[in-house]
Amino acid sequence: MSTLLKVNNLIKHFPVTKGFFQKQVGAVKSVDGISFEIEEGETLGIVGESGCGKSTTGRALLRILEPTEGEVLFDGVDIAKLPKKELRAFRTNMQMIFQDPYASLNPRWTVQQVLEEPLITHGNLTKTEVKQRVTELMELVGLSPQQASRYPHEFSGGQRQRIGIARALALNPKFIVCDEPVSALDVSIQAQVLNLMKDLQQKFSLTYLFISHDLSVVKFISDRVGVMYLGKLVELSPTKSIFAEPLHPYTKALMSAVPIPDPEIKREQIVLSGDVPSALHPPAGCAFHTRCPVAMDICKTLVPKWSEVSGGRKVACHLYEQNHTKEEQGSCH
Amino acid sequence: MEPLLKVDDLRTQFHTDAGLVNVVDGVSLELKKGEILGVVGESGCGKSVTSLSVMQLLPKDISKVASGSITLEGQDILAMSPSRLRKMRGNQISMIFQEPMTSLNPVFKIGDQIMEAIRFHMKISKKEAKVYAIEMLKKVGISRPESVVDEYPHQLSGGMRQRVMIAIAMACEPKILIADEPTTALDVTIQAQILNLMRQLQQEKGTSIMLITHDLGIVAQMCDRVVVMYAGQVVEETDVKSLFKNPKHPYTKGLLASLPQLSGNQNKLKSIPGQVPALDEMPTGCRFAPRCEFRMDECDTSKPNLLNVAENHTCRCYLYQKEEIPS
Ligand SMILES: Nc1ncnc2c1ncn2[C@@H]1O[C@H](COP(=O)(O)OP(=O)(O)OP(=O)(O)O)[C@@H](O)[C@H]1O
Ligand SMILES: Nc1ncnc2c1ncn2[C@@H]1O[C@H](COP(=O)(O)OP(=O)(O)OP(=O)(O)O)[C@@H](O)[C@H]1O
Ligand SMILES: [Mg+2]
Ligand SMILES: [Mg+2]
Repeated sequence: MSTLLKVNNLIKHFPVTKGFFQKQVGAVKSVDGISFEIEEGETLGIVGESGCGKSTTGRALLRILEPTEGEVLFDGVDIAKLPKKELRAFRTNMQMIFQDPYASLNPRWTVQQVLEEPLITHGNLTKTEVKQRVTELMELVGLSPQQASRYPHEFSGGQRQRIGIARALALNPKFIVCDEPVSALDVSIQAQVLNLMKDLQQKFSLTYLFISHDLSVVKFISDRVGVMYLGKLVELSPTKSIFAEPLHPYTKALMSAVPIPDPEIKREQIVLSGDVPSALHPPAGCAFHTRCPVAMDICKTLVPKWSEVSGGRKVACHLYEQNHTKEEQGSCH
Repeated sequence: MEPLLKVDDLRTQFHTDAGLVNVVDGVSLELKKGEILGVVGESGCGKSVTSLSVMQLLPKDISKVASGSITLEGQDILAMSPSRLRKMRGNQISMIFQEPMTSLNPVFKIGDQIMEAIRFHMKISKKEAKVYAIEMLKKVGISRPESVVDEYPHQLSGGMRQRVMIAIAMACEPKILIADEPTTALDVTIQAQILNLMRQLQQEKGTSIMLITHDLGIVAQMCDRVVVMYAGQVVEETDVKSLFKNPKHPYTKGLLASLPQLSGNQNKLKSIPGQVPALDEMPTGCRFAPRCEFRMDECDTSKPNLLNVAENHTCRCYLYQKEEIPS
């Protein structure tokens, strides 16, 4: 497998301005220096609480939002610095699927029009080829091509999400950012859409960044999982190991808080106190220290390093930095 | 034991584009003292409308309870006067609504809204009410309650607003708490705090809770009994252990099988094909039949009744007609 996407120190701050002259008085540090890679054909899941910067990350990667700083290397090309004109052509490689299928579809367009639009703007297909492609796309996502002349409101939530997926697939992208694609759907429909996304991935060797706050959904779809807290990645590990043995105290708390659909299982929960601090004034040191059940003095002042702990597992936590240095020291002697 | 709350054969109608429809169609359920009853089901199946019918807070002009009865400790809620209903809400039954943003008044301070609820039902002074309000906010895990009482709803996060709603709902220690998706808009770590709080309320004060949710994990961890609804009807009802271990209705079975699991490996999820029928396109027979893998001829032509399929276990499905046990 080769690396499709390499993200280096991605930052997205939103300036906060005040007064008539729009003087900048601060910044919302929505994404505050994250680095990761995505292999071709894999799904990287991103989890974390509301406002931790998941959507902003996805949008900055596709340059729907301009990154404040950092590199986004796609097949070696730095998208973050690509001139606008080249970016437009490049965009056909990268698509996005949104949470709310209704809000992301133009209500005055038929499904036919929704699916034609990217084909006409970016492709050079004849009219018949466009028609053919629309039929193909609808069948691909399990919709009947006879419904092409209908409007989004005539479809159910699950069907609308299928339309959103078909639209994202129209230009044969390599990479799709899926931002909470099943969160608005009922469980029984959610399963249909998740299966579909997995099938399509195999069929077309798609690479997904899959954003969700639902850990069991992320576990089902992802090869690796990244956990975000207040604009930073705190842990990134292969799915199997992160669920078997979460490392970061925040990952542990997050996982223990998920109610298990089995009344016979009663788990010890790590209940975190308080709220997520504001991204406008994130705490100094480790941003999680204000809620961390095992915080140490060092956590209040020093930002923990983002470093590899073992077999493809990365974590940003002083607990592991200590172990790390001890081990290193040990091996020196 | 006489149930605290009893809903019997409730039919609630709405005027919709498709004409007058029964969005709740013959729902019966009971809430016993001190228990947590879960109500689950697909979006639009009538969970919220059922609870709004109980609270008598249905949108006027477009909806009404057409038939059936709702009794609270033997008293007929449908026959209560408006002033009696106001007393009932808060004192006897409190409700946490699905949308926290819309249920707080944007122009009043948080503290004033809690105090109003408290003073309407308890005879205490303004000063005492404020102390009590701060105490309630602390209980729901709000970290700086002394300043939050003087803030407005828009200054709080969604999670904090929902906790304020819960503080208001619990302030008067009602006998019954109806919680309609109380944590859907919240993060799991905040959700865990709220669920603990509700469980504490049930254990310490013996509050009965009707917990409406689509999250089967929450049902498993919180509830004693569960009612499963589909397209305006109850399709299954039993204790929580039986529901997860021995589900009877094909919809319940399908729902449980569709869940992605946190433990183990799944390559493919089982899913229920198709979608919920539209209100004006309800099948003549069983409402789940078009999506059901066990469908038989009679399912398309006649409506199944709720059958006793085991002790304290009912199910609306022709598969169990032969096994029905006398009640
Ligand atoms: N256009 C914007 N201007 C200012 N702040 C913004 C903007 N977009 C996002 N933010 C802030 O950035 C932070 C991260 O937001 P983001 O939408 O990325 O979170 P998220 O992890 O996707 O949350 P959710 O789970 O609720 O979707 C939040 O504090 C949000 O308020
Ligand atoms: N104000 C309204 N006007 C018209 N129809 C309504 C109204 N409120 C509810 N309905 C209809 O009544 C049916 C039941 O709605 P209800 O809100 O009880 O569903 P629910 O089970 O609570 O769903 P959800 O899980 O999405 O909250 C739905 O089909 C809905 O469209
Ligand atoms: Mg988001
Ligand atoms: Mg509802």
